[in-house]
Amino acid sequence: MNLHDTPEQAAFRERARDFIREHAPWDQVQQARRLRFAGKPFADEADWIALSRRWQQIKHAHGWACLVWPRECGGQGLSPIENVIFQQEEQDFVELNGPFMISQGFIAPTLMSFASEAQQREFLPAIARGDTVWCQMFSEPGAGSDLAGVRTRAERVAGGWTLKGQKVWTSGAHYAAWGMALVRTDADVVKHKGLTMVFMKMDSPGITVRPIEELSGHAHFNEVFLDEVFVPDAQVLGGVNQGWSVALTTLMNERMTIGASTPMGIEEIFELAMQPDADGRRPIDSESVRMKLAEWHTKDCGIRYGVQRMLTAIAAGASPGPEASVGKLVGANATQEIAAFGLDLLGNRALAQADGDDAAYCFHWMFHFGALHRVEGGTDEIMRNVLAERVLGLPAEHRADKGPFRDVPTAPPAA
Amino acid sequence: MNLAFSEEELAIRDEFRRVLTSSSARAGLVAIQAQQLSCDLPLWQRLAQTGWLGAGVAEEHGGSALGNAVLCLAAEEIGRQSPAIPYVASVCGFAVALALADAPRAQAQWLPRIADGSVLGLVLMAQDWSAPPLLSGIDSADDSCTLSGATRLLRDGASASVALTLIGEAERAALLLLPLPAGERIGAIDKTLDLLHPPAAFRFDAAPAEVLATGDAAIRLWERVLDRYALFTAFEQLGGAQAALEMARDYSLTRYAFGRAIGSFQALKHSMADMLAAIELARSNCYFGAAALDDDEAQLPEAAAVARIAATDAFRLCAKQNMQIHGGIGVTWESDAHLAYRRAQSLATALGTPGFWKERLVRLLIAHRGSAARAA
Repeated sequence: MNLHDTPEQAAFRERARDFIREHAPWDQVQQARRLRFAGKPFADEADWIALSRRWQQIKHAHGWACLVWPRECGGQGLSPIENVIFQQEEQDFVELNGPFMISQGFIAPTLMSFASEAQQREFLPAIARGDTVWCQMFSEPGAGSDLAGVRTRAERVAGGWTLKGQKVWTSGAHYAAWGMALVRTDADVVKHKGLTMVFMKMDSPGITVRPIEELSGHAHFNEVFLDEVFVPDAQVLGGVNQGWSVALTTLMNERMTIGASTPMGIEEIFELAMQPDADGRRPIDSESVRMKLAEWHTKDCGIRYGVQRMLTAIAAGASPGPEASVGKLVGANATQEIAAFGLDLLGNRALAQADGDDAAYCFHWMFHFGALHRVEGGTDEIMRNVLAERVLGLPAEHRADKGPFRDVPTAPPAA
Repeated sequence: MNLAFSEEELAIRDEFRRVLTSSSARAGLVAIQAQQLSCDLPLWQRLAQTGWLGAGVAEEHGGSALGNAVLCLAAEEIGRQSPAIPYVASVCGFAVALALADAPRAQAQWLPRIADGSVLGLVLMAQDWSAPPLLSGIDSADDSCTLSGATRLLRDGASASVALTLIGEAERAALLLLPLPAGERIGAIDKTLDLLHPPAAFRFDAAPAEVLATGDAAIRLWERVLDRYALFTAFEQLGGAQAALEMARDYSLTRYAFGRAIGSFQALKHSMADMLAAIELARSNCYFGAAALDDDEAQLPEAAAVARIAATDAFRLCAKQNMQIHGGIGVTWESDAHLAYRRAQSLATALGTPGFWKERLVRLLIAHRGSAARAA
């Protein structure tokens, strides 16, 4: 066991630091930091995407983009450990990776596993540069946690498929050029076996994107309506009716990316607790506040060191296991608790965000984000199922959907 | 950063596991309850003969000096198997503490006896004294003094015969090696919280003690002792938590109700998933602590506190949920579930309460932020 970089890692860290010092958009660092907890400090979303894209392109031009990808895909062929070192050094700007998280973190590994060589050469370098953003059309109004229950139909037509249905919770669909969708190609077999993964241009005829207003009042997610959208055969990933295993690859990468990268809010609550109130008293001088801070700090360390344990295992040749779900499960719940505690400390000041009140701004966002984060990318309940079944080996639930998909019970029509 | 134990360290751990499985928590309870022993002495003697009591003792004092990483793994294994012996207190806690001091005479006198099992040591915190004890003047010829006072009940007190403790504050602080008189045990076994670690209290009336360090040096040494012992205890708690989860899982797979294994009910699966999550957090924090202990002592105080807090939480959660998942049988004397439940509680307050470690952590974090702000 040891805590230090090897000489090679230390040299790599030094080079990363030099690059960031020289090339990062330091004039925008305050804005970038305020992006934590999905805040929106930019007047216009387009400004955020433009700044993010500029930083991505600079990283790419200097050989610092998508470090773990193979070189022929636009990456650098480095190890996950070097990737983490770069992320640590990039901390102040890491939120500028937001527009590319889905494309680079979830979609690209799926393309690497299932797309043709020619398609990988066509799409991956553009994703690495940040030129092209993709979105992931998985969930539907009737299929969220029960993702294999998607009902968007793909009908066979000459040279491909026609899609008809509705997707929901699609992050970034309004600025994505391409999208990957899980659709039903056969309703006569068990539900997991009748699914196919396809991809398409988001400006294809028949696609309508509508924003979903979240509890925060902002719209990060969308509904996507697919009305007779044509997808050529060449844009099927992993084979017809093989879509479930493709989706599992995407989901595993999603949980790892989210679990390893999301801040919990410990720095924010610590800072707030150190600020004296109007009477000059600091919350941190109260024992009850100190106990909570210690508990959250302990969880935060546990999640961060858990990532390091996973990296140690990967470096020794193991593949990441379902234990990665622990980070998101614990972190999301802690964030929600921290947000409520921060708002408690702010008292009446929390009732509205006054201009320039950074603390109220931050904890409002965290309050909304904590709720959302426990649901997105696998709910708490799904995470617990994953841990119970895949790590502890406990039996699966008894279920009522084991027959052909068209016979699976659905809610009775409203009276 | 590398947060995994080596193959070699794990192989040594596996050897230790084999020796420990020659007894059990139940056998220890019989030794204490029916045979009136202070602990599972037959197992203790086997460990002495096989050299495991010298794991934290240098070779010159008759030990095998297996290193901190192995001591961490040994403590975890003690947690898993839960034998009725004060291994972590004496072999990890006391021996490692005494070895840190600049006290060759005391080390030569006591460490060989730790390694051969004839002496069992404890580390006493301020909370363990019923009032601050009184100290005579120190005889500079042989660093001896006398001490008068009384301890509260001490976990593993029934089997201990020597202790290390810090008395006094600031320049009056003294780190003492204190031979223990016969302790006063509380009568019936069913009146003790942790059945496998019988407590005792001690009275001292001008009892002889040896001063190992004074003033700042004593306090600095004491801090290092606490961090190490806290980390070993955290590993013991981690092992206890893991064993409780495995016991719960195994039972839930064999017990049927409503025509199915109870482990297939989501209520129980989610309870066990939460146990697993708590264990994973504790394990990551413990491993980081073990790495800090060997590689970067500056990071050890925070790491040890964090490991201790997380492991206390994990063991308590797992012990009580294991009992719950066992249902009726879990709350009987016959089940081992209560042995873990009791031990999780007694370990939570041994060597500082959860509140003590949380307060210690927050002080370190505030100091850390202060120094970071000054540097910036």
